[in-house]
Amino acid sequence: MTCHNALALLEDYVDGELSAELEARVREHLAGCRRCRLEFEWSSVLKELLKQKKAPDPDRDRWAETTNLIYARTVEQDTNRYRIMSVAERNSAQRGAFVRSVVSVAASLAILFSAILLGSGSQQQLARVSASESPIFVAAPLEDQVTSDNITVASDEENLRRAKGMLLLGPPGSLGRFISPFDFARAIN
Amino acid sequence: MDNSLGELVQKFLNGDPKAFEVLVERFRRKIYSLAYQVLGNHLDADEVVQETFVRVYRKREELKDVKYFSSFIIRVATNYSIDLLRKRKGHSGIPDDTGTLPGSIQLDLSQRVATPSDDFEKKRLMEEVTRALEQLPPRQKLTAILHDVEGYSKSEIAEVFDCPEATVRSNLHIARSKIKKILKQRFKAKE
Repeated sequence: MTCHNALALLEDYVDGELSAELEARVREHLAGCRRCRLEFEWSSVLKELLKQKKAPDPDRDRWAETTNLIYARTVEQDTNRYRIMSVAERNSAQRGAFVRSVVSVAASLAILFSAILLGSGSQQQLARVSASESPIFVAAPLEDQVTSDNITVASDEENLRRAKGMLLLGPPGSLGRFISPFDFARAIN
Repeated sequence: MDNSLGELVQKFLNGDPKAFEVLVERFRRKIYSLAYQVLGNHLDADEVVQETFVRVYRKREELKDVKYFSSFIIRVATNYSIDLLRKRKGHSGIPDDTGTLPGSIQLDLSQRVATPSDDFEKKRLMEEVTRALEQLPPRQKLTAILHDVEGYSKSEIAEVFDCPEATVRSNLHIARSKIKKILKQRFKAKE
């Protein structure tokens, strides 16, 4: 047996996992080869040292604390959950969750449709105002305003009222377009 | 797996909390020892013990057969130990042992370790082994610890790592080879 072969089998030899025949051949090689024998000694020593490398025992308090934490996070947690919520309560909670989901979906849909309806209504109002050339202050092209015979010059009082309305309701383009509910009603008529 | 353990695991899988408590009592020392060898301190070892049992409890549906419980729990502990090991200090591997054997070492190591009176030398060697283990990649380190320290068989380790036994054998040989190389260098420097 060559050194190369002997070294390849050395760890299995140390672990006692070779067949009787191979073990005898390795032993024979080690008896006659100092270098491989030294390697065998290192392997044997290492195996022995690792075998003796035991972890220290934790003290009783530490064990108790760790074990209690394990139970608190597993068995006891499950037990508490079961105790707090009986089967009837669990079913009731599930029904409640379902109703809440339905209500929230319905509310979302209602908001969505309202937004769509309001948007289209607003466009219709603008179109109607433009078609009837109402004196209400609306966003119209500057050219139309200049060439139109129906330009109404608002009084200072009216302008002040509009400014207040904008301040309260927002800028033109949103609700500020309509100064008050009364103006809003007049605009859509 | 002995019958009593099999029955115990089956009760645990059926939701018996008492069975789980018995399993904790039975396996906690093994998990603690493994974690301590890998991480080297009580706090981390405690964390591994706690987290392992919590994960085993929560993932018990994943256990297909009661006979795999031992490898299942060791796998959970091993994986968590590796995660913690990487988180704690990162890892720096050492190159494979490709060099030739130095012929200059004249120590009769078997004699040194076997001599009961030579406690100091044994302690020094043990410290060197611990340091050398710390330099191994996690998988090789775990294989060496599971096999040589904790006494698991190669087939059990193969189950834990879900890999062929030949891979375990190879990892073990590489790990030992690296540790021996480090030890030789240390002793050569000190001689």
